[in-house]
Formats: sequence, structure tokens, C-alpha cells
Amino acid sequence: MIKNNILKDKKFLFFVLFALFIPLFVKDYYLRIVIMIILWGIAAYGFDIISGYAGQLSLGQAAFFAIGAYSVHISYLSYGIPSLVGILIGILISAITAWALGFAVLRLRGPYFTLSTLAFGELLKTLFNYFKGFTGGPVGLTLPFQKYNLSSMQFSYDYPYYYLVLFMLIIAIITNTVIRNSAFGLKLAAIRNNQDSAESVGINLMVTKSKAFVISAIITSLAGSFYAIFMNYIDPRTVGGFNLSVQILLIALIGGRRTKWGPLVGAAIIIPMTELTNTYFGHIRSGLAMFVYSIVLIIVVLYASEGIVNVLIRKFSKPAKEEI
Amino acid sequence: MLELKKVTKNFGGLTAVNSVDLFIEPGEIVGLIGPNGAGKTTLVNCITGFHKIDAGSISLNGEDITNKSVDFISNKGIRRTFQIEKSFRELTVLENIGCGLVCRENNIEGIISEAEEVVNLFNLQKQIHSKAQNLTIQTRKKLEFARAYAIHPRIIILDEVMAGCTDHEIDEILDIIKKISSEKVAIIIIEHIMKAIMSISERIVVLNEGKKISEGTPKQVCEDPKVIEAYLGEEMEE
Repeated sequence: MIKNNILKDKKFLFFVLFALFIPLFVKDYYLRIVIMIILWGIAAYGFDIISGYAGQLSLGQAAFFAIGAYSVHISYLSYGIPSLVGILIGILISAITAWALGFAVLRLRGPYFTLSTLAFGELLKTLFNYFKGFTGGPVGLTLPFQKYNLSSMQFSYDYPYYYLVLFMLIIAIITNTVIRNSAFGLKLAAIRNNQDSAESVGINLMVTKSKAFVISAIITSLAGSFYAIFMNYIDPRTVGGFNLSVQILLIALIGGRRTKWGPLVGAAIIIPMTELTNTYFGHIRSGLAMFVYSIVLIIVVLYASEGIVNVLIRKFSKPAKEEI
Repeated sequence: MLELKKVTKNFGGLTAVNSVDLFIEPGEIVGLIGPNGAGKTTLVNCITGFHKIDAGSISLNGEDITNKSVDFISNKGIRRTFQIEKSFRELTVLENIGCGLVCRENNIEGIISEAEEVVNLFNLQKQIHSKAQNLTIQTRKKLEFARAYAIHPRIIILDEVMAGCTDHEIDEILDIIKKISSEKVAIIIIEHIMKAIMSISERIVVLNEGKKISEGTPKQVCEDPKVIEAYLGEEMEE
């Protein structure tokens, strides 16, 4: 149930130390790949809170990603607010949206909840397409060059972006670990296993699920904001919609849900794989890259359906003595 | 302590619980029996808030808890087990019991140490780190009982917790029930195993077709012609 305090966790501290030196060895294109891995990892950590710990499968995570992304761009383009503040605005709007959406749909169970979140993600994408004056519609938005500094979040090198996204990742991992080892995490585990029973031991389902949904939205929004800052260009198709929600889901599933490293490992597999299949198969036939990508996914799902990290934990940890 | 006044529950045209009165004292062991479909589980669902009642009132220590939410009633100190057990399958025995405590205690170390005491009381030490899904049904039912007891509630409602148990297991559960009731925890037992329920209950309430048809000590109830009729049918006239 409880294992360790995150600050005393040597593996985690070693990881942070190691990660700090990555830009010394990894440069340019490869550093950008690492940044993308971490970025999608963060989104998957967010997804893991509502769908892993609380067990409520959300296919609307793209909505919060999009809110995070558009908050940064619209804040600057329409109001001249610097991107650093834009991130905070994104967090605030995502949290409020998740709370309001949760109030409506978290009373639904199982697939009904999933379908409602899916519908919400699509709805938001349509709205971003529709309000052209504000969001640029399908054409999207581009941030102009402002100044190289922290408040504009524009840098002349890639490595400041790397440290920024690493900082966000550490926040995401600590959040997940604290949740897993807390009373709140136990409440989520109860809800995941059996909602009737959870209620019968006094857990307020709506309040507990809402909290998880809001935290999940905040972390996903962080990833979206960073994406917007890093890529500079966003449109409703790249930061919103069903495909993006599914990508987040796949990363979490393949890496292993409810583990400390699962989402990051998942991203470290999926993101380079997408790049590789695009590079080597993209030009042969259109669609071939997706084909290869899908085959790899099928293999992973067949042989490591609970996620790679969970399979590794099972293989390398001593089998616990169980008596019946 | 717990008081039900004219509690009625309809499902469409069917009246599953019909104007039932009931009073439970602290530390009392009350058996709730009746033929299949008598409305026993429905009554439990009404008390614990899973069903909203159509008429009547329920109060606990003078506080009205009629049609309050399940978690509210649970936190007031009325806990239950389920007829078809609903343990937290992926969680270990210790975690399952911890879930029973999680609304009273915020500190995870505190939860664990309290849960360990409950594990000892229920003789689950051997299985403490086993997942609920790997246990037998009978152990899972006992686990649900332990989870309900974890906070030392005012009332525990056991819905067929002994079904399918061996004599030895029944004795074990009866012992636990006696121990718990001496701590002023009232227990309502629904059970079809007559030997067990007759030996442990101080008072027995008999339901039939949603109505309370008899109430009294086990002996009184056994001799009540209405009860015999409900279970066995009318005496043949010759």
C-alpha cells in the first residue's frame, strides 16, 4: 500500500540527476524528440489519474490539452498576456471545465462516462474551429516572436525548453506518487474496484472523482500549454480531437497504468516509434507508416496487455506469498 | 438508536417493503428472516440509502437520515455487507480493510495500523497480503464484514455473510459477532442458516411479502403460527 516517500526514493533522485545532464549528450533533433517524449509522458500521467487510479476511462483528455494550448496563444494574441501567465490561465480554465464537466458526467458509470468525455472532446474541437475570430479556426494560431526570456517562454536554444518540460514532468510524477501513497489514492482504488462498495464505506463518489478529474485536467493542460509554446503553431486538429485522446490513452496503456514510470516509458516507446515509422515507411506508400505502427501496437497489446512496466515488475519482483 | 417508522418501498406496482417499523438498541443482535422475496435485502437497501423510500421515516439517535446519500449514512455509522459480495478485487486484504477506514482517518500509517488490528480480530493474518480476487467466496464475505467493522460503526448489517460456510467457519463468524456486539456495536443479521441465526440473535424480526409478520425472541418466533405459515404454507384441512 505505502512504499516510500518520494524525496527518499533513490531511483527517482537518480533519474532527476541523470535527466539534468541529458542536453549535454543529446542535441538538436534528438533533443526535440526527448522533449516530445516527456511532453506526451506528462499528458499520460494526467490521464493515469482519472483513468488509471480512479478507473474512469476518459477519452476527452484532448479537450484539456487543447484548453492548455489555446490559453497560451489566445492570452498573448488577444490580450498581450505573456505565455508564462498563459499557462496558469490554462490550468485555471481546465480545472473549472473539468469540475463543471465532471459534475455532469461523473455520475455516469463505465462506457457512458467514456462516451460523454469523448463527445466533449469533439465538441470543444468543433468550437475551436467555429470561433474563427478568437481561435483562427481551422487555420490555427501562430505565436509571433516576442523576446527571448522566461515570461514569453521563447528561447533561442532547445535546452531551456527541455528543462521547462522536465520540471513539469517532475511535478507530474510527484503528483501521481503522492496520490498513490495517500488516503485519497486508496479512495480512488476503492472507486476503481467497486463503486457501490466504495459508497458503502462512506466515500463520496462525486467529490472524490471530481477531484481526480480536476487534477488530471490540470496536468494534461500543462502538457498542452507546453506543446503550444514549444511548437509555436497550433490548430484544432493537432491539439484536439479524438486521435489525440487515443494517443494519450495508448501511451499510458502501453507503458503501464498506475506505475511510477509507466506513462514515461510508454511515451519513450510510442513517440520514437511514430518518428521512425514516418521516416522509414512514410515515403514508400502513404499510410504504410500507420500500418507498421499499428502492427507494433497489436504485438504490445498481445504480449504485454497490462503495460510494459507492469510486466517488468511482475517478472523481476519476488512473487509475493499468497494464501487463500 | 436506529428507528424505522412505517417504511414503505414500491417498485412500480409491487410493494417490496410495506410499512415496516423497527427499533434497534446499541449492541443488540437482531436477526432478520423471511422466505425468499420477503423484502429483507430491500429493507437493508432502504436503511443504507441505496433505495429511496416512498413513505415513512428512518432516524439514527434522533437524527433524521431518511433518503440521505449512501456515503452520508455510512459515515453516520451504519455499515453493511452485500448479499453478492462486493469486495475490492484488485486490492489486498489489508487495503480492503483500509478502504473501510479511509473516510475517518487521513493518515495512511494510521489507516494501516488500525486495519492490522481488524485483520487480527477477523483471523485474516495469513491472507493479509493476498488480493481479494484470490480468496474463496466465504473469506471474501468475511473480509467484507471486516471492512464494514473497521470504523467500529454503530450498526453493521450482515446480508447472508455465512452462506456457503462450513460449520467451523460459521462458529468463527458467530464468535466475532459476539465479540463485536460487546463493544456496543449493534448487528442486524440476514441469514438462511436457522441454526446460526437462532443461536446468536437476541431478537428476531420476520418479514413476509414486505410486511413484518412477527417479532420476538427466537423461541417466540419459532412458535408463531404466522411464521410457520409463511415458511411452510397453511395447515391442510382434513
